Amino acid sequence: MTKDSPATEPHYRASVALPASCLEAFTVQGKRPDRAAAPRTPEEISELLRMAQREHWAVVPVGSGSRQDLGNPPERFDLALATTRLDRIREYEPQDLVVRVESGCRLEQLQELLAADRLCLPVDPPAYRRTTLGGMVATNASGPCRFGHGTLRDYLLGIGVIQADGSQTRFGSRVVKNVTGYDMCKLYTGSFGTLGVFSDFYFKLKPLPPMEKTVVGLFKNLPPVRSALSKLLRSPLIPIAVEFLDGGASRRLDRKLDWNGKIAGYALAVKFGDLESAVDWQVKELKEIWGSCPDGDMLVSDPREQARLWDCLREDHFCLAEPPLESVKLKVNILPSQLVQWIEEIERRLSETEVPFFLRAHAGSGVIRIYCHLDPSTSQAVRLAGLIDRWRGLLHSARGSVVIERGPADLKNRVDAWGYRYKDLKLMRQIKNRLDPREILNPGRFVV
Amino acid sequence: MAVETSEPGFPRIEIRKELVDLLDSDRVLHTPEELLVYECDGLTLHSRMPDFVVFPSSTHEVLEIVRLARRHGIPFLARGAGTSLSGGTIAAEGGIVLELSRMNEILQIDLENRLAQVQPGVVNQHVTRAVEADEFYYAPDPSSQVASTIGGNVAENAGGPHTLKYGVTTNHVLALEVVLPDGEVYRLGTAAGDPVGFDLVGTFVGSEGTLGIATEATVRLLHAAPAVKTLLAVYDSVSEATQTVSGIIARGIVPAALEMIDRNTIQAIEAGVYASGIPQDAAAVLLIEVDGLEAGIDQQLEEILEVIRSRQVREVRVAASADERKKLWAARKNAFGAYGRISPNYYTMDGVIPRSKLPEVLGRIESLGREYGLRMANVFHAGDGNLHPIILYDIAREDAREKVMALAGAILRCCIDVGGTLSGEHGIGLEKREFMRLFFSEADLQVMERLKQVFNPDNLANPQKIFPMRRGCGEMSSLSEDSRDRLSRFEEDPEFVRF
Repeated sequence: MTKDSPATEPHYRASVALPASCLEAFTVQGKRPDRAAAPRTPEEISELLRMAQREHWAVVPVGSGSRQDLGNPPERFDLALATTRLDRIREYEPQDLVVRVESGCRLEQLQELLAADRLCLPVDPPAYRRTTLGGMVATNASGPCRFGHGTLRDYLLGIGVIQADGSQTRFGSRVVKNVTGYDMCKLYTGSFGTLGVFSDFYFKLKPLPPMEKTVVGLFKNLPPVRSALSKLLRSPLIPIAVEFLDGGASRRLDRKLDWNGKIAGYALAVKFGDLESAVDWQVKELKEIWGSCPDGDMLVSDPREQARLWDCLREDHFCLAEPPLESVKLKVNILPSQLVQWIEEIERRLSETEVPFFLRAHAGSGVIRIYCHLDPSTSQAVRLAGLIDRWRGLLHSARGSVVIERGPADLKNRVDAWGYRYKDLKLMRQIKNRLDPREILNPGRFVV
Repeated sequence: MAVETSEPGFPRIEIRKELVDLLDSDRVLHTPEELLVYECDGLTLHSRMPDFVVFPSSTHEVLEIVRLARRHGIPFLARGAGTSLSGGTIAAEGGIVLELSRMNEILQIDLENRLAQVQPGVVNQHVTRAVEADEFYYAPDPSSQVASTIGGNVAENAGGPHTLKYGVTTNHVLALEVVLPDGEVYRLGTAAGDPVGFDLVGTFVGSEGTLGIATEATVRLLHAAPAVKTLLAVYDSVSEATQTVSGIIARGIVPAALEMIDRNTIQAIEAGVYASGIPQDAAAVLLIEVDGLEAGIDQQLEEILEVIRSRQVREVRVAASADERKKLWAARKNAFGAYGRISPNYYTMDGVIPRSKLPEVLGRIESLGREYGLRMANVFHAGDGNLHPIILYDIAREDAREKVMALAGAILRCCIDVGGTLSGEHGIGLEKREFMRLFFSEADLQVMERLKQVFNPDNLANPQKIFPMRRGCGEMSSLSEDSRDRLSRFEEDPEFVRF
């Protein structure tokens, strides 16, 4: 089998292949694909996957590429299957609060259309401007508003999937409530492109909140953060987002927004979105239940300032620029009530390693993110790998986890990106084996 | 002592002895008299007696029973309150029914993390009862919530009126402990942040007992809304009511609940103990609830009243007290029980349509009823487009069952035709498995079948549910033009109308 011989790839070359000059752009964690294709239809995806089966190609489905740092580096990478040409909005039913979009459609493009009708898909993951819906579903991407609105799994109603063997399948539908057959939308959400290639989705929509305001509580020390959080979570308030920032993060945010030192130290940013009277009441009530808990607070109520703040807060480094290659992003999944104790543990251990870092968290949802920068000339990668092992061990009984969402090869070669060691991994492997027996889809990158 | 279902060579005595060794004899039912109650559930059109009904009280006992079933190669399934409306808890091939009512402990309540960890036999409403003093509650509220259990709700992905705003069971389950047919206990999902790997909790919820048995669930608790407003809008025409529903959704308003009740249902309710003074000559009423903070609640209500007033409405009543509100909801939640007053038998259906199609589809359903010469009633979750057409019939009349099933098929086809699905919350079970090909292609079914084989390779866990029995003849595309023809083929098949 000569891999690059035109004779074995007639269809591939004729309709969907991208020129060799594009390949560099599809590099995933240092690995360049042998070929790339951008199909326009589900049929063309089928054709490509059948060919991949025959040739035993390793296929990486790619949207904007904004989440390809996730997971382990590809074992093999024969074909980059770009969904960028599948970018249409197929059906839009504003009166039903439902939309059908193709997987290569960008989130921002969809939101612009919806906003004209005061509607939205209430998810706000990083790389907001670039990310495609396919990439978001594959990685179950979420952002700050997950606290109030939930995650993509709560909005995906229907899905078109091209199976590894090329067969075209469809699950769910455009209705908002459905128990017809297994809930396959759940299985595919977060499946990391390992079970099939998505062609299109039906999403449930929500009305845009009439207005939004944010209270930022500022804290010199950690213990009051815990009581502020606990008071908030026991209250009837219904914030959309509850974000935690450590000193490093709030300093960066302050700089990014030109706030000239308005925020420093630990911060909790609480966003409310509702009718004006409901927002104002909540802002007042929050200050009341917090009392003297924070050392200070500020209110962001100007709509433009509000938009700028959350445009920054949803992005990893508060900006859209690509982070440097050696930068590391870890996700630590914990019980929400253990936030402060974990922040303390992480601060203490990372300080010992002399790795520069800052911390953020979806505080109400138990998701901490560590951003740090490894100096390749030192043994910092070794020490960070040791810490990841330690944390995984500590989190095991609560079924928590530490995921390397971005990191240099030096780190990923030492520890698995997912570190998933629970018993149900066996079931996940079997599912993968049944649905992609030849292992052509994203081999080696996910937990299976 | 033989039960009608035994196959020759079925080691009944041996299995019974093993079960008794495990559980003591008072927790093992085996005589036909004892088993009779378990031959059907909320779907009375099908029945089949299990060989044994057992009452385990721990995950370990469930595990041992599943291992025993596996050793003997006999089917098993779990049962909670037996309120399934799709035949989910009927032992279609006999075997062992695990009655989980003794596993009814609330193991942990953790308000700081807004969750509760419960055993599967805990009654839905008891979860809320355990946390309501702290102003928390468990959101999914199927009409059966005073009886149905969390285990059953998980298996069927139960819904309810307030799921319009708050989502169905699957949106509220964080983690599960399950006993799988391989005779092992697994933990799925997590309450700690995001789960890693495939979403097995989401896959398991709604799998109707065909993947295994949930022996523990960690569910999300919500803070109760401090303010609630409930109103009743009375209409002289069904279409004005359905237009109002579409109008509310199209305005981007998501009420906590948006229910519709038609004339036949009103008459049934008003004849009974839950009468709440709804005018009996009304064509339809909408029961609408908004909830949230005290601040803003009146504005929410006013926006809805604006839509209501833009159509022909006879009367609008806003519940003035918690008592009045309870009364309105009692009428709605007990509607099903009330049909007995106006008809000897009734069949509760479940289908979903895009909510903008309500006016069109309700009209079609009404004319289908006339065509088949059967009375119909409707009480349903209008805001979700989740229909519950009720077919009223008298089993004593000739051809009654055949006619009911033919009408039911025609109604489902009507739902599929407008882009809807076969079930919104009752499940497929035995009831609708032969309709699955109306919605799914052979390739779709194969993928789900492969998934099932991972969990349930020998098909011992709740056999005959969800999947159509008959093999398809070649490729059939879902939602195709010829769905009408295929359905009529099913209807003509003597085997299809089986009770």
